Amino acid sequence: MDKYKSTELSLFILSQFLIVIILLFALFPMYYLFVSVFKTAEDFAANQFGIPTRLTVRNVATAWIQGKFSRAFGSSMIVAITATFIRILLGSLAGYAFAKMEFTGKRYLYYIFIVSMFIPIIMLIIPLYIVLSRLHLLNTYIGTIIIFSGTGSMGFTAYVFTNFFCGLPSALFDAAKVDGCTGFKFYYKILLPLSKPIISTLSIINFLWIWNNLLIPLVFLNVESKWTLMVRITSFRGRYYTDLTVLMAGLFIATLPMILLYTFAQKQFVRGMLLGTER
Amino acid sequence: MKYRLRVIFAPYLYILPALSLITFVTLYPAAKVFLYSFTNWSGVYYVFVGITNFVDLVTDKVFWNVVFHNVMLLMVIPVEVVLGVIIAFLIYEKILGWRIYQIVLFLPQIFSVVVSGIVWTYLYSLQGTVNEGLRLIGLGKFTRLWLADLTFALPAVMGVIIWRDLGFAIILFLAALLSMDSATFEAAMVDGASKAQRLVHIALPQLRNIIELYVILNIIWLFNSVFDYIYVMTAGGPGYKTTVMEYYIYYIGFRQFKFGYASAVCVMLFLFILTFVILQIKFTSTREK
Repeated sequence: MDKYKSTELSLFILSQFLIVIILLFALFPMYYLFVSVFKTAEDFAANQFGIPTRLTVRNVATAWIQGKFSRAFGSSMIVAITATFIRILLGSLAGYAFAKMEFTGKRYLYYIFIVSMFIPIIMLIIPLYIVLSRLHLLNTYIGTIIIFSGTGSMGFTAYVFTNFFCGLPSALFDAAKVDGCTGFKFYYKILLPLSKPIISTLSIINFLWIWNNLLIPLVFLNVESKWTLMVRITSFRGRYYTDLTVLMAGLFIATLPMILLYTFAQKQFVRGMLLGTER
Repeated sequence: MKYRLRVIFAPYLYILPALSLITFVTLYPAAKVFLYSFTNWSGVYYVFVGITNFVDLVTDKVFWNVVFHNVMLLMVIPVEVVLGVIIAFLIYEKILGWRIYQIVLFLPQIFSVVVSGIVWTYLYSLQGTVNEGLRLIGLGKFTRLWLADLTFALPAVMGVIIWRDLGFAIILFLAALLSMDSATFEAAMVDGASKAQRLVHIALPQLRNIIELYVILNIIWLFNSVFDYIYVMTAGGPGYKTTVMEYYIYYIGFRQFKFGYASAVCVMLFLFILTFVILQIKFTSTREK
């Protein structure tokens, strides 16, 4: 019995040790980012890893104004909000048809949505680059938003909506039909209000994906005045490589919306992340 | 009559907007890539060259190195699975401070790859935390410029992938554990099963499905969404030592403007991913039976 207890104890210590190591591993880069943001350059040079001796917001101001992060922030917002809205609107409409209507070719049309989820974006950029330049949509918000609205995540959004609508009791549909509430009216008056939880989850996850995406704006929105935050950061880094505290402030600005979302909608945030595995 | 037409066409109207976007942005370009892969397309004009691109690919040493790097990246999966399962289990068993772990370990997920990559570039730099840490514990001779090191650049990138994705694995496995019937766990505890026994004999078998799913999805992710890490941290270097298929496509396409050849690499990437997707579908369908 004693021997058994001692192995239990050593296992306990071992697992506690492991999890603390992992915690430090997860925490340190974030800590490093956040403390650097609020340090003066001299302070940073003197103590790279410690907490700031004197708090300053100058780095954030420098990044926001001189680094033109304000502009990039706006650009990211325009693209992410619009494309998220389109994905949710069109995805829910398609999901409604797939879940609650019968029509020829439904199966095959549904497969198209599913297949689109597995086509890597890198595969699309060369043909899309050519098509967009022919349509004079290269380096425009419209072009970029169209691309964000038609990638695999659109298929994914429609797919999640389909599953969600399928899970709703069919009695609901029958009852609405009796009351003459069909078609678009049913979608608007009954489905949408019922979908609030799934809509908020999908909005957060889609917003996050678009906000954090580098490749698409890098290729399709590559004019300085319209750079999104992720593109701005990669160029900003070259210029401020030695001015680390300002660069970290830029990274901080780019992450701030995610921090706010996670703080105020943690449940939906995590649920959205997990949705990605439920294919 | 008007009513019936409406009934017949209405469903298509609901699907059409999403479908046309998907067709324009995903299906049509994907089909185009297959076409381009048989040409020497360089942006101006093209000639069909048959399977020349694929013959070149097979003999292209860089390409096979690039594929090998993608395969190397898969090594993050066992690390994430083992650590993810153990930590999810510890949190599930309400280890001291579990609430903090649950929140903090997930946090790296909210940082974009671009942001994570840049922060880590500094941690890996000459005077960065990793090297300073090594000096601190007396391993000063192991310090190096991690991301410029021929041997350690790719493992260094893998470290960042693990940093960012481990929290996701933990939350995924934890969610699976929480959705299980806790009666088995309680019974085992009453019977005096040790922590290790509960992990191996109860948690693991129940997590089997979700682990298999995670592995396959992760393989797909490591083939089709690691571009940002490479672009931000190493630009494929030193040499080609961290170039993966995605970055190779970008490099050939947008640096050398060899669209035909880049398309051939795209086709290969697609075939790799297709294999894993089929595996996944097979796996999910056997599970549903």
